[in-house]
Amino acid sequence: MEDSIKKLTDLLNNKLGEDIDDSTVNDLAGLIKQCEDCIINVDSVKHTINLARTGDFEVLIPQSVSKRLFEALGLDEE
Amino acid sequence: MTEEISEKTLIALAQKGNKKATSALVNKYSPRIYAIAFRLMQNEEDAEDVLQETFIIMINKLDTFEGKSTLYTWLYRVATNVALGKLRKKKNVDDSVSYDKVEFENLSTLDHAEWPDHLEEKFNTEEFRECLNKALEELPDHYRTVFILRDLEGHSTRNTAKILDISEANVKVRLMRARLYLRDQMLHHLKCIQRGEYGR
Repeated sequence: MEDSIKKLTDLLNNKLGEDIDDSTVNDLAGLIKQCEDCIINVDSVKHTINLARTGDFEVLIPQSVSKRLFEALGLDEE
Repeated sequence: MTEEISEKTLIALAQKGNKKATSALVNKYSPRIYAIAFRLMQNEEDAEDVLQETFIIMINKLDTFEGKSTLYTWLYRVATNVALGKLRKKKNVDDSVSYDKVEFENLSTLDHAEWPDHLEEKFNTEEFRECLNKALEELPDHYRTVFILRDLEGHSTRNTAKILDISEANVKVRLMRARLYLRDQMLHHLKCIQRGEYGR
């Protein structure tokens, strides 16, 4: 039983990573619909990824960092 | 196509020691390399060190670049390896020890998995970022790197495997564990903030 749960968890995570083909996704979608715990598990992980993406921010290189980089490399900034 | 040719030309010129071509490559890729360095190191000073080391390596090793991957992928790989090396050194622990110490097997328990309805709506952006940063900081480097590359930077499993020089299966396992760990930690921190435990 534990093995099958682990197998399903692996498949679910592959699904979230979009690493499996469409027919396996459909098979899984059918299986998930019948499993309340699986729905909760998939939704909460999906939620985490979406929130992490939302909370993430664009990192810009400060001009002073860029200047020091070119100096360290002995190059002229373009 | 034009861009591809000009990049190839720039690389060829830089390999022969042309400083203008090298500057152009540094100029083109330094913003993206700084961004990944910052995400991995989580502070400006260390990110700058990683940035400088990455381009010093590029200049010294560019003659060994054969164009099997793009220069960006090559630089990305160098930057992540430099960053991981620094993180290991900083923590001053054997990497394999810290990697195995964390009890990831207990993180995927279904009874803790439910995300309360609209929980995140009760927080402002700053509080939420604080929570995300705390959770990311606590994640072991091997897992954090994979999560950042796959879920935040949007690299494919194959590309992530190439950048980190690990198998695709390994990427999947680490990603799964990272996601489960982050889910549990973010839930924990959001609830702590809600309870005012961080001096809100």
